[in-house]
Amino acid sequence: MALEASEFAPEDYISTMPDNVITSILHQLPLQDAVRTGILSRNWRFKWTMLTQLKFNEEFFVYLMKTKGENSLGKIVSRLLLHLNGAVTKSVLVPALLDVEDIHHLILFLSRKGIKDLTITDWSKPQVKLPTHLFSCLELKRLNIYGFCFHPPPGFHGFPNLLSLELRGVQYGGSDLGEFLTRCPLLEILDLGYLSYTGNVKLVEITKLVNLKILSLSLCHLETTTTISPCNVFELVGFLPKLQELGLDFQDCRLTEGGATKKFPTAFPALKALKLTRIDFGDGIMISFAFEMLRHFPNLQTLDIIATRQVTDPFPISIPIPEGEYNMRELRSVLFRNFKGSKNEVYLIKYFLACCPSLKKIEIQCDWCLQPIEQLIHARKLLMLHRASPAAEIEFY
Amino acid sequence: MSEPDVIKPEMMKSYIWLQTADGSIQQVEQEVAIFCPFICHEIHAGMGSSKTYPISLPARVNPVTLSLILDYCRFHQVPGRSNKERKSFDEKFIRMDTNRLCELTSAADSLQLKPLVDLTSRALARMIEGKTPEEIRETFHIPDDLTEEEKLEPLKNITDDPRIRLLNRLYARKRKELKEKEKLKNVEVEAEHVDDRSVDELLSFINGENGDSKEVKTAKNKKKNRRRKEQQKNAPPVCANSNTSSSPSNGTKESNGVSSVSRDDRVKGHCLPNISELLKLQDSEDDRFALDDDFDDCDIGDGIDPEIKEQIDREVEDFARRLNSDWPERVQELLSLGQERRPSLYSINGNGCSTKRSNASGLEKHEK
Repeated sequence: MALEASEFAPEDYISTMPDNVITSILHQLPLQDAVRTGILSRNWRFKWTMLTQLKFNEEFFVYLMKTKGENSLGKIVSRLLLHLNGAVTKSVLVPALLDVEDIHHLILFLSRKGIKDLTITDWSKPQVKLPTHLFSCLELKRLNIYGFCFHPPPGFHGFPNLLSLELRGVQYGGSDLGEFLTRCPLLEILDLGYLSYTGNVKLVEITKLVNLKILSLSLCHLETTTTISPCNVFELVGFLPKLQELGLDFQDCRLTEGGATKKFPTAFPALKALKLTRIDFGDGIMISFAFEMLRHFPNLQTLDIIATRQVTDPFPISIPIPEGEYNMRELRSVLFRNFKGSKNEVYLIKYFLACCPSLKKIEIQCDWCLQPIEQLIHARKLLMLHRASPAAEIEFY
Repeated sequence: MSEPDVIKPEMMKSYIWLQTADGSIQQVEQEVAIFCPFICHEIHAGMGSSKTYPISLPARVNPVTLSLILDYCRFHQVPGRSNKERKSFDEKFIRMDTNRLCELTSAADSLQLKPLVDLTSRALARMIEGKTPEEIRETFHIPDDLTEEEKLEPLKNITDDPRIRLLNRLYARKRKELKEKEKLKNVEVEAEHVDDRSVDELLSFINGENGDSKEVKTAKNKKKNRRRKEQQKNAPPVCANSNTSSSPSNGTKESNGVSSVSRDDRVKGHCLPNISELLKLQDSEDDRFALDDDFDDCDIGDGIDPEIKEQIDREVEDFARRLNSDWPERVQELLSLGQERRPSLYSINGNGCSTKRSNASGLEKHEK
């Protein structure tokens, strides 16, 4: 074979590989290992400066802390950045140990390097305000912010290329969230979970984002006259033809049952996944609201329900859950978190087991307040329930 | 011949022809080959349907890697396989000699087969992650061709290890001392040369011969040394700490030296032979100052310097006396051409001494 001759004198093949391949190898290494390849040989001295993706994540800072200590983290990060040759298109920052000033400089640097994909996480309180340099990163396609305080400057014209925006646990400064959203017209993924925002978002503003495939927001932020009814949600979904995943958060919202018996004309065929968070199973209105959702999404395949952690009324009014009327033919997987064992919750699970012929898996995670013995009792009860789908697995933990 | 774009009915598999860089041609099932985007595009462009028009594969794809790639394609293009099956195939697939894995990565990249590039580069990354440099060099047969200094240079000291910083400083100091030692040797050697030649050539000049080429050269060398020495004095504090990238900055240092030399050359080029002695006179004066500098700065006290100083003094006085005879005409030329020289005289005096060593005054000094 042709290679065997060369195997006698082992070649340094890796150093001759094309730059883009070497860069893709270096991208799969932790940042400190990628930089250290500079010491391998003359050829490799500057290969790492071609990196376009930087992962300043926990792993990197833990490594630096071990070898250097906390004080010069900012200095080291700056030095590293000075060597970089080309654009930086993707970056993950977990700048928990950096000064606020360092964070500002870092974001300024990235804004000049044509960053396209930025993830930045900082759960410290009080929330650090992100610098306005962030809003000059107009090439951004993906922006994920966890924690922090996000305040677009007045008159900000939006991110024209933004496809995915996640602002989880973010405090939104200002009162123009809706307008900000309308200025990012290409958005396909929008996640505003656990957002702290004192204002309101008009339905009309969200409906402008016609390309949305994944949407997650809090019902309390939707602006309506008095209360929110399922009709409002259906209206919203009606304007988003490409929507595949919808997440609704029920914390602090005022709901109404309006339209509970009325059948909404359009079913929404595209929606495949639904996630309902912080539902209070003691609140009858919320439960019926949830059921309305289920009724109108016939192609639903995945359902996630996360019950609220807060203490709920231990003796809620049990809601008669109609059986058989709703056909959830496509539902394959159900995830139920913070199960407290209340009557309504048990009813719900019973319902799913009875009415979902395609169900493959139902996963129930108990709330921490449930004692092991209680867990056992519930588990026994669940196992005895009738199942429409013979293949259904119940995972209870 | 049937159209290449049409997939034939179930019974007959269609084949396409591929040619590797070494010229060998082989036949492959179309459904397997179109898994590679590159080949797919070529087929749509109409190539590969017959042996006379095979698809020419990029240079990095040799027959061995091609067969590996086709094995990969053959497995993965079957739609019915489970994720588990694919994963286990992949894990077995990448078990091969390191160099072959590298070749495979390059070949897959040139055929735009992204899943395979990702798989192989991840495997290669796993071989690099967490290993020491020696281990990595061993695995990939990378030559260890960085000098000790380069390895410890600030460029690599990203983690700011104090030991490395200390070593850098020591190296910088050592370098400086070495250069100064060298330069001193050069200066001595050339000082002696100057002394010898100045006497000879003065005589020869006075006798009407042209000997300025040598003079110019020695003067040039001295200029270069002086300049390098000056840069050396200024450079070490900068060098040790904030060297962003050594090769470009070294380059500029060198070019500074060279440009100063060339400037001097240009000036000297205009000098007529009868000026060159004056230049040498000034050079020897500079030497004296330069030697003083050396003596002040470094720890190298050889005892050679004072002797040379005396020698030079003697020769200079000698020369000055001889010039006296031709003084009036020479002064004119000196003054006019000396104008060009004066700026460099200021800069040369590394001590920061701002003595204005004009041509006339220098001569006057020695006339006495």
